[in-house]
Amino acid sequence: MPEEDSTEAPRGRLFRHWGRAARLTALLIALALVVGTGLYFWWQSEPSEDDLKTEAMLTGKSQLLVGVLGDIPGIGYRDPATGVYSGFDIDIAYLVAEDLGFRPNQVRFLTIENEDRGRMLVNDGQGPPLAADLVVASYSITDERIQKQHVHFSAPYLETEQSVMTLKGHAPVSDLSDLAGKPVCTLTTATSSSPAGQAGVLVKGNKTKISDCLPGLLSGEYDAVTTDAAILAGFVHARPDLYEHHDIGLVASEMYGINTGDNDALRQLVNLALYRSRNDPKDTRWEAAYDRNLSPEQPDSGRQPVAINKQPKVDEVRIRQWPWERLAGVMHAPLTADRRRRRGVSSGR
Amino acid sequence: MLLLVQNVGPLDLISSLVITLMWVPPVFILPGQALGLLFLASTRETGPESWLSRTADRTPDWVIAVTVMWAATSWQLRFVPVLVMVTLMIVGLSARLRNPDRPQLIKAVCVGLPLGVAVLEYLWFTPAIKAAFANGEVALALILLLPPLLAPLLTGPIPARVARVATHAPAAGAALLGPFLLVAIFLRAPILPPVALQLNADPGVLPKVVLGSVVTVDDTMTTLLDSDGAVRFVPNGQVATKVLCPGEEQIPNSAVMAHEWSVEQSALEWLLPSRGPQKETDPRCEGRPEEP
Repeated sequence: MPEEDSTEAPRGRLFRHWGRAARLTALLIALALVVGTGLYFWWQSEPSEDDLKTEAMLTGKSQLLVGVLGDIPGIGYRDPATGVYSGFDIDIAYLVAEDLGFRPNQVRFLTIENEDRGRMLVNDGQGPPLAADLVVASYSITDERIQKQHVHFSAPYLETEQSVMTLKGHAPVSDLSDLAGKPVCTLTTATSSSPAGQAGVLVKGNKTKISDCLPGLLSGEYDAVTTDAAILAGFVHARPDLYEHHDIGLVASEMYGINTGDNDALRQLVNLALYRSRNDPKDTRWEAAYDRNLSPEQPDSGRQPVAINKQPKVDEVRIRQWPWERLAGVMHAPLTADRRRRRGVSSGR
Repeated sequence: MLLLVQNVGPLDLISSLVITLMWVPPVFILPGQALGLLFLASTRETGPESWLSRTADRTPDWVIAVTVMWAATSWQLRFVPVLVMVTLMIVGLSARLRNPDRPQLIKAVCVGLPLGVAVLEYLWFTPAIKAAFANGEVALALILLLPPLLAPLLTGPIPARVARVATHAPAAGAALLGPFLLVAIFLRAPILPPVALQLNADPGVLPKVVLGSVVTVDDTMTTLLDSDGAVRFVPNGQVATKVLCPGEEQIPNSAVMAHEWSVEQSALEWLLPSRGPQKETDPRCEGRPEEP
């Protein structure tokens, strides 16, 4: 018996030793797991939509100030008689404001100059310039603009391309090189000035507003005007007897984004509004804005598409949500009293 | 401060404390018991007793049983595997300590039982684990996946030399840091109801909305604590309308569900009837006046 014990004991002891060591490892893993995940759950927390609204300092704001262009029919146009703004940018601003909790009469539009779109300064005609909360002004998203301090773009809300407008009866322009050596008007701050310059066009770009190019075009000082198709289509549609729109077939596309400045929480909320508009099949506000403002311009523009008639893709914004708000991977906006009323009306249409 | 003490009753503060911290005592009792028993099992032959092992030894079984049931109802669903792991640890170590001469029983309770329970747990939680991995929520997936695997290993002794450190260090750490954690949790608890008051305005002027937590209302004035922590007195005559704003609801971080129960809910929350969170946001709660 003792011999059996002494030959069996070492193996049994070894087994027990490794068993205990394994248990120690398991204990350490369990402690690390519990403490680690406990701390992780405590600290990691995606903001909820209300958290973002508080962070964006929207609580207590009585009005949303939006900088828009005022001289482009169909995109952002201020009626001189009534002072009322209309256009695609205006409708997109209303779309975003509604999701932020502002009713249409709580949104104030002011005209912004093209060079102030980065600084987000608007002027109401009395007193010093005001800082806009959002800038929805055909502001194309480019790397150069993103590098600028204080410029932060939301996801794109419209995709268009550069095109050319001439007087009616001008020879067809199929490429910018067809205008080589001729004077062409564009904006100093525009993304259209460098492709034009590269094509050998005489770029006359000392205008602050694109509508300032029109008198020169009509007088013959300029041969053509070049900028985004969505903008030119508006002018052509307003006076189809005077102007003609040409498709120059540039590959690069212009993506319009909303400038939210340094307010990152606001940028996420804007992206959330655009994401819902894109992915919720019941949300047709973008399509309605396009049909109201840009679709009617297409016949006058001929072969040049005014813009892509589908909302550009928007990346998902990660926020905490109630499970029922996450139906089928689409995030529904919580209904405010107005949206309920509006949905009720539109379903009868 | 005086205003709060005068107007917020001690019963309100205590009930707020109880409701927020209800899940906390089992967090200290159960792991403490488990670590104490582990120390006893590892150093039964060799070592002296310590404060932890004495406490573990003297705690009656019914206290542990009640604490386990308390934890089962008040802990979130995602922590139930951890609870089961700690309970199995306690049960297995107790069996080992009380029945040293019945190896079959020890094997059954310390290995067989955890394995059986692990199978049941995986049957219940596997869809949730898969969903958590799919969503990229690794921490959640691990805390559902690992405890059933670790439970069979934790029901036996560890090397005697390290037993003291391995069991007393976490227990002492929890005892030292615990009070700070409790204070941190309690300070986040809401006590006063948040309201929005819309004030009277002249026609043509946009009405103002005041947001804050009501401290007291008397016949002339409403006293509010606004979001900056300042006290505001609003005469009742100036108030046009008021509305109770639902406080920051506990919106879950994770969308993972186990059989239609959110992993971030506790059993108590399913059992008690509660009004669902408001689906409509009143514009006054965001600081903007209501349209007439």
